Amino acid sequence: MLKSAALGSVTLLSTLSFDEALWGRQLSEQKSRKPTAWDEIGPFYKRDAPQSAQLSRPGDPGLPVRVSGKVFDTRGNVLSGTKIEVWQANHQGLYDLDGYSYRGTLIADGEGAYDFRSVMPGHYPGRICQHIHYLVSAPGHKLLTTQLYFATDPVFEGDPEHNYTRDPLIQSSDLVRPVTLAGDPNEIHALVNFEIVVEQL
Amino acid sequence: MRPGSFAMVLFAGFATAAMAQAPQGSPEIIKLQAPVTSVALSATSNRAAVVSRDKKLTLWDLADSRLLRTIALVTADIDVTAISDDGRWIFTGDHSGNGCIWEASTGQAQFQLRLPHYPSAVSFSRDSKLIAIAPMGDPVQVFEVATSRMLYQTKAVTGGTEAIAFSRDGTSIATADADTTVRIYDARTGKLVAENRDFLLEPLALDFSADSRQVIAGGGDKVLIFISATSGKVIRRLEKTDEPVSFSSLRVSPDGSLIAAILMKAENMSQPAPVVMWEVSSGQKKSQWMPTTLALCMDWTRDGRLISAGSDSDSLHIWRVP
Repeated sequence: MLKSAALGSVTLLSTLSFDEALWGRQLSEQKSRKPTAWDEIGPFYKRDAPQSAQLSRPGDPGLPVRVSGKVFDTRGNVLSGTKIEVWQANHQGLYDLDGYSYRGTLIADGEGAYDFRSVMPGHYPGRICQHIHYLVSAPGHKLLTTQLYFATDPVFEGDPEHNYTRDPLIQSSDLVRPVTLAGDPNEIHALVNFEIVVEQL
Repeated sequence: MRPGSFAMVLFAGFATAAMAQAPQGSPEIIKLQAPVTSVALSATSNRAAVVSRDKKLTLWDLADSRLLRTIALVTADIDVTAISDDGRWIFTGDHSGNGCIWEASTGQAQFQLRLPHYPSAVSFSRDSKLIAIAPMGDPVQVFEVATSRMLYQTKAVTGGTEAIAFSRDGTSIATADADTTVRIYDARTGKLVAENRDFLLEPLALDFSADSRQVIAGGGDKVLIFISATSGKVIRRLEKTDEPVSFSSLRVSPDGSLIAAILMKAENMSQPAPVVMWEVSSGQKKSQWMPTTLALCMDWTRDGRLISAGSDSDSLHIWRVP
């Protein structure tokens, strides 16, 4: 029954209870998803980052950014409780090795959702593109190291689909995400959505 | 990305010679026809393997700066080059994940391999019979060079391996892993023997002590830690540096009395950073100098002299520490 519902079988629905039909519809809405592209972990990972969705401190220079998304498996199921470690350079492109500035650990909620607030990372001099590192750990799934890039990065000249290879570490243009500016002119902030898909073990 | 993967570097001198034993005078210059992308040294055999932008792998005799062989490559996009201590084998690994082991005397490929990702670290065993290759983010693969047979691969660790070293006695392999752990394996079987999780940041460089009983490791924590190769426990720590640097490369001298390190500036890994030498017995710095640009690699000669290499746009620069 589950398989039939997942395949969207109309004929079976009339024989199902309301709850079963609803479940079946939810399943039919799920899409199989491509795993998020891998990217290297980089040399500045630091373990034991505090569990916090606020990576920047009030008044920190730089364009505020809120990154949000959901974590899925490749069958489209949301993965609540997924541990997501994020770290980045500050707006000047510098990593904090002595403390935990711009480093945090997030736990995806019951809907698989996560979000954090920070500032747009600067260009680290040893790299070409602005980026935020991710280490994603979901029980029963492969660990994922990847990096989030921004379509507004001048390196891409407005065409990340074609120009993402300018940074040889970017494995897929899917990692380059659109940036939406929001807020009033005095308090502009950036919004970025980055969905994560991990593979089952 | 490691500093060794940067294409254009200049190592034309040193700004300060704070202590004794820093190199004096000018480096030896080996003229090339294109900028260097990757370099490896074998001080024991007095050889340098150089990959340049014109897709050439050249082998040099450092005794008289003589070109021994030129090998044509299909790409200049080489992330890692390594040369065995006896100078017989050269490894090149490109950014597409293609690896090749070349026989230096003939210029022929001994064997080629396809890696899941580009290599992040490579090391030959001290007897030049084995090679350990870490594809970025993946388990370390160990091969017998003469037969091209893969002996084993280590278990997967988060983020993969940043540095590999074989012990002098050939019994152990140590890895500096991105999950901030130093692991020691049985070199013959790949079985995990010990691990150490004292680092908060990634360890990026390591080597064994001369007696093979300890692993000395360093990274973003800015401290050198001596680790028991059998238990993984910390035996000793040297004084932490306050400078914003990380350890990029470590080599213990043949007699075990000195440790040399190429540092990496945390704010810009492509800028030159100090090369430092410590005396193991006292834990004190014996020498430190600042090249004007990045040091790419180094090795010890059998008689205990340090050789370091860098390059500018058309030449390889070799520094020798007395």
